[in-house]
Amino acid sequence: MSVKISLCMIAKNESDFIGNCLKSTLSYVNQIIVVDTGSSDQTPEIARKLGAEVYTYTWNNDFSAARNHSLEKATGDWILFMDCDEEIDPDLGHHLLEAVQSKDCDAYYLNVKNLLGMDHEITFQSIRLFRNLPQFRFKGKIHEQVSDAIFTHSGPGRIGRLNVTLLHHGYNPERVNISSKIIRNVGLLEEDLQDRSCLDGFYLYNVGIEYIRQGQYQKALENFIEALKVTNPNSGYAPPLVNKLLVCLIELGRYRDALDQLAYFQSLYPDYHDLFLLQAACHIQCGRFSLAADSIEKAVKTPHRNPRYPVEGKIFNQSPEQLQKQIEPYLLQKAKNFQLSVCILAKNQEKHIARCLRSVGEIADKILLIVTECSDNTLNIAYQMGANLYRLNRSDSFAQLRNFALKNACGDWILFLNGDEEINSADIAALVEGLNNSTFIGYKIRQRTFYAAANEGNYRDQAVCRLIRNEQGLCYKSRLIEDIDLSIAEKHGDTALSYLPVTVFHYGFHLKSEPEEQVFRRNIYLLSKDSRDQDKNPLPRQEMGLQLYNRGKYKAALVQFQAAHKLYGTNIPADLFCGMIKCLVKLKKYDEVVLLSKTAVDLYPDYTDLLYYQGFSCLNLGLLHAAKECFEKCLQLGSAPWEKYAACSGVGSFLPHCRLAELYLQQGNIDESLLHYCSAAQITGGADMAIPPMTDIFLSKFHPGRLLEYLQDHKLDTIRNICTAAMAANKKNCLLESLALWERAMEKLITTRNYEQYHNIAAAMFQILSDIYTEANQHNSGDTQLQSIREFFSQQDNI
Amino acid sequence: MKWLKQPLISLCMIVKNEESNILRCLDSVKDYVDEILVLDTGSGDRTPVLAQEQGACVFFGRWENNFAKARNEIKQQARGEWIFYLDADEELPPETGRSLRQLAQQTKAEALQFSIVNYTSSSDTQKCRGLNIRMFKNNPNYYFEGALHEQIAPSILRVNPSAAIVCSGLEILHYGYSFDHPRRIQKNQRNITILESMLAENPKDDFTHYNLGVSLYVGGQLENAKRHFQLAKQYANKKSHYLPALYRNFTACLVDLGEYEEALKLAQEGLSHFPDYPDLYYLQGQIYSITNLFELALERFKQCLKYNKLNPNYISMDGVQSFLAYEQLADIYMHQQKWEDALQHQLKAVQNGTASYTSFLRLGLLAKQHFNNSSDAIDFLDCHLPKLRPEERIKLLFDMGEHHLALQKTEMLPQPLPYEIYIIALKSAIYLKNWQRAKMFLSQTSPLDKEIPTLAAICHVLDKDAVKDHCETDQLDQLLAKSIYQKDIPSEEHPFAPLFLDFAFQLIGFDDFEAVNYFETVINPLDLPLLYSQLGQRAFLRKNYNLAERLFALSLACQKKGIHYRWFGLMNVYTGDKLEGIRLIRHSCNLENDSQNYIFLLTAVSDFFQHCLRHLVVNCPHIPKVHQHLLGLAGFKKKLIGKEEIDCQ
Repeated sequence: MSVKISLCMIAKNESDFIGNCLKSTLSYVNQIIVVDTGSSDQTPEIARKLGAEVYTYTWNNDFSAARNHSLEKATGDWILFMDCDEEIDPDLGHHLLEAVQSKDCDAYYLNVKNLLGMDHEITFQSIRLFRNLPQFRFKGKIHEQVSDAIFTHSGPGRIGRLNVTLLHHGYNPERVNISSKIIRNVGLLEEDLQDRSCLDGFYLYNVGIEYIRQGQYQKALENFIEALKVTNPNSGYAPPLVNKLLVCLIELGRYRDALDQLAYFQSLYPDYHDLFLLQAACHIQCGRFSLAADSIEKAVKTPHRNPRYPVEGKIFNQSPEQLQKQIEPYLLQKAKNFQLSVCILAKNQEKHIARCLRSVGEIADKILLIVTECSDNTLNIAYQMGANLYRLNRSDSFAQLRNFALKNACGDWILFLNGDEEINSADIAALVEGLNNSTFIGYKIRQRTFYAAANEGNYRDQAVCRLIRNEQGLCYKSRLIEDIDLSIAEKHGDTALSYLPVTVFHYGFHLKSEPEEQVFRRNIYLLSKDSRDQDKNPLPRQEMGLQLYNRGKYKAALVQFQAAHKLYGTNIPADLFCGMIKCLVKLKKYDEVVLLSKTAVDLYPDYTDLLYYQGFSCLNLGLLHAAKECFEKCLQLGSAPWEKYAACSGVGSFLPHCRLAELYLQQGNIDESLLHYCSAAQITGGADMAIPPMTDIFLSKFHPGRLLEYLQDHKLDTIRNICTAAMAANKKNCLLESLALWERAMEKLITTRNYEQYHNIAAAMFQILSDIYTEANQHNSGDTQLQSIREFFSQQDNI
Repeated sequence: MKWLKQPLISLCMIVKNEESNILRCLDSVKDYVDEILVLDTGSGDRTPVLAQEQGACVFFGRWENNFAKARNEIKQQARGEWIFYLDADEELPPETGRSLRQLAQQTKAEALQFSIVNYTSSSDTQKCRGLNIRMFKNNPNYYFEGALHEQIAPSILRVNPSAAIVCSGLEILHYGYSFDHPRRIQKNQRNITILESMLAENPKDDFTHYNLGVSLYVGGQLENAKRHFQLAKQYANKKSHYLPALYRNFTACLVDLGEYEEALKLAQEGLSHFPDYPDLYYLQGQIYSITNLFELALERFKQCLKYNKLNPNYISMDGVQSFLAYEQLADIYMHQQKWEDALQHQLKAVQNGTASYTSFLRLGLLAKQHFNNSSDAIDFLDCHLPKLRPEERIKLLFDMGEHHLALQKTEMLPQPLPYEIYIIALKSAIYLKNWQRAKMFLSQTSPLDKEIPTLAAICHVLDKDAVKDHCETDQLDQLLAKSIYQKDIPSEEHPFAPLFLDFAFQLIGFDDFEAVNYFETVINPLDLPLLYSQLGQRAFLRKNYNLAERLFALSLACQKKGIHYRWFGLMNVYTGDKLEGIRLIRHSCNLENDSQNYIFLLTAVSDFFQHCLRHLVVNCPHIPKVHQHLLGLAGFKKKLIGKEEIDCQ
């Protein structure tokens, strides 16, 4: 007598899937039971057409009850249980028929291969084939399982493993609207949790999985932790539970916690390949690339795949090989033969601190994070990324904090950073190289401060002493200024100081983590205390001038600079000249600039900034010939050497080009003018400045259509530049030309497929609309219809 | 009626001033119930008398702004085994009536739900369906609760938590929500008052917030409606029976506000709870269609078609899972100029239930577009619309521009022709400049019929001889000359008489060349640009963009003013030359800094951007921000001109 198999399933609105599902089973099963829980589509008709017995069942939010209803209807000897979005892999289906002949087993695990789209898949094992016995029934409202009942009644010895694969499409975003499915599932799960009757580990694990799918890692983690408490580490779902718990920790930025947990679980599951990859992920997030590389290597060397572990093989969508490739450029080329402590001063920098820490992860042997007050998440982030935290009492001197760091640092060298800075990763090799055979006591490195997030070519460079040999007797004195170089020079002589070609990026200006006004007041307060204590020291005055200048208080800044000037007496430093000159320029006292800059340039002939301001003042005074001479010299010199002078970007390149272009335009020499604008635009950071006046020239002097040709001929037709030109054209009331340019930018976006550039297009689009709107309001202030659309423009701020 | 044993079904109604409805209602139900009890809460008309004539026992009571109270009052009088209740503006379809007794005798249920079919507009196609308990066992412990949108279910479930409340599958027709219902606005205002007082007592009642939201939405107070929907959603229980309706109506409200991004999200959230609710897919489809995301719109409308058996728990617009979705699909294919697909889908819409004339006309026009010749199109229509009445067929031919055929077909109809057909025949004759026939039709109608004087005047203008016999020429000339300007309230902005504008608009439709000649002779030249502009705006509102463009071109030719530049510019935007249109409107802003000029400019420029972004989406559908920006631009445009979409075809 042949053994009969009944296929049992429940269905609701599955017309997309059920046909393929049933067809895949037809050659193996003798009866098909479909319990329809309220379809409003063609599901029952399709099922009937394929020979199924269809029963309607009133849905009461309980998957188990519905499923058990289908089991009641089955008359076969065995039950194959499937979901509508599954299919039997046709190559392996015949094993089903062999399995049901066996007398040794009451149930079988089948492989369920979850197809997740983009070739991504996870395979689990699940009991789907079992004898049709009344005691084998489902339990749990969702992720219902029959295995409990089978374990209880038959014991694990009578459950076999079968090489049959069910292909599951239900989590393939290419085929299913997943988010809707998840919300429904979580709703059911929460409801179920309330009655607590079926609270078991596997169940909590599934709740967590649903939360992960929704991106709610905190909630997922809570469920995994609960699940872990009641889970036997040997049970089938324990390894994937551990895996997902670690994924949550990593997603939540809790790298240190994850590593602690990993240390324990790796002892439990030493051959669990994916755990090494998770370890690598933690290290990568913290910038510790060599450690990550070690972990990946271990993962690769653990090829044996224990069937207990879910086969994922990828971590955050990347294979070990991809990870390896990704971190390769960051690995140290040469071993370092010194120990490095990194000291970071930070306050409320949760947005930046991770970037800062990551930039030194590879080279730091110890990281000290020093704060006095901190009210945001900075400390947590830093702790999780491996920093040692030091919280000091409120102090009105940064010197105190920095000296504390000097005392507590260990190793051979100390690197100082602020929370809103990072080391340029390309310079790490130079740093190691420099320190490996160093005979110096301290190094100045280049601090590059950016002014605007959108334009990386706009910055100011200066040399700061940040690398210090860990020696007794060195200390900071000023409450604000980083003056350790003075201490080094005092103790070891000027020759103990040198320069390293290492750049620190500083994002302080445009990423405001503290109210600017507050920082400014504090700095002025500290400096005034400094200058009271050391009334012969010009440095605090000079620094105060700088702070005032940056706040736009040029008159007051000039007063401070002049006071510093007096204190210096004869040996006036170049930076002080530059500060005074910049104040005078802002105050439009061009005569005085010309006078002062002549003296300064004689003393510091290679300080380009001075020459530039001289030229700028001449231009404004109408001394075109002198101006031209200055600007041409600026171009010859290029940027001033950062080791000697604080220098702004562009003064040796695009700024003088733009000014020369203005100058030629004044003289009516349009060709020459354009040539200079063009040169300016070709230099990084210069385009934003040069393109608008260039556009003006084309709009007023030529056919506007030629602008684009010109940009193309000079390889300036980037999407960003065309958008800049479009905005400039609209500002000149040339709307049509503006739109034509914008349209070209759009075409270019489509043809080049350079979709990251879309934000420029969007920004130009909203700028054009917003300019029209502003103009409309100027002429019709208070018009109600115009007011009613204001909201649209306020929403676009974040573009 | 026999009173030997307990009557089976007692119909209970409360009424006030329903003389226009009560007969239709009682007539449809009186044969199927055993007693009719009516509580009149203060009618000033013949309602109680009419009810009595139909065999109802009429009681009188005071109206205390509380529906539950009134319903419980009349319920107490009922002796039947079952209570059945209706409103006066409802009607039983015969199938429902015939099944009523059998259902009452056989069911094991404690209460029965009926499907209420609400007619929302004058055309029969717009129907909205919802489920409501209308029949329940007569038990003194069951009583209505809630001053408005009173409910019986809570008390039934309190008495017996496992009481069976079953869907009867039967329909009740409800006319009260029709937009053209005379007392709709008044009733709605009354409801708002009641709901507001209910909220004053119980400010966190989610169902009241929901109902107030609906009433405000129907009354056009969108911002207020949104606020109350929001509160309803905030307070609502996850299992509330009206939750699907809340998602649907809240989304529709956001769509009307132009807040497309939020509307999409809300609908999506709704779908996560009710994944087979076609109305939510439909609303999403509409949003995507408005924002030019046609591929996504197609997908949503196709999804609607899947759920062809409507879940009775959902309030649903009739047709969203069939003919309405098909029409939307046809619309999108039209936009994409896929005429074959558009035609096929419009045909499916017609075959799947829509019986409205507009649908037929759309089918006809699409057929004409697709076949590119009239005779094939007409064959197609004959083949697929075999049941069309001859009058409808003639109207269809006329509206398709087949004047010759329309005229021909009228001759085959038996005399006398219906008035409407006369007018069509007459207009066809005018189009064809067949003055002899025109004269004949004119002579067969009474000159007092409403459209005749205008048409006669048009004949007169286009052909002096045509009306000789019908009316004195001089008289007509005088009449026309006199009627041009407003007499009662002359205003600078609207100097023309409405009747004259009607006449002028029709005239220019028949023959613009002659019309312009005529206007130049009778109108003060200073007024001409304004006339053309007003006629142009009328053509614009009727979506006759080509005519509008011609008229605005005329107004601009007469007078170089901002208003003419801006309208002519906007027409250019509509008819395809977007940049030229923007140039013209920009010029209008340069001439005059009027805010309207700028509104037009912003509209045109956003339209241009929308168009380009749409192009980008076609080439690269995967930049997420673009969708967001398209939604934003569409909402912005809607706020600018109160109109969703510039029809580019």
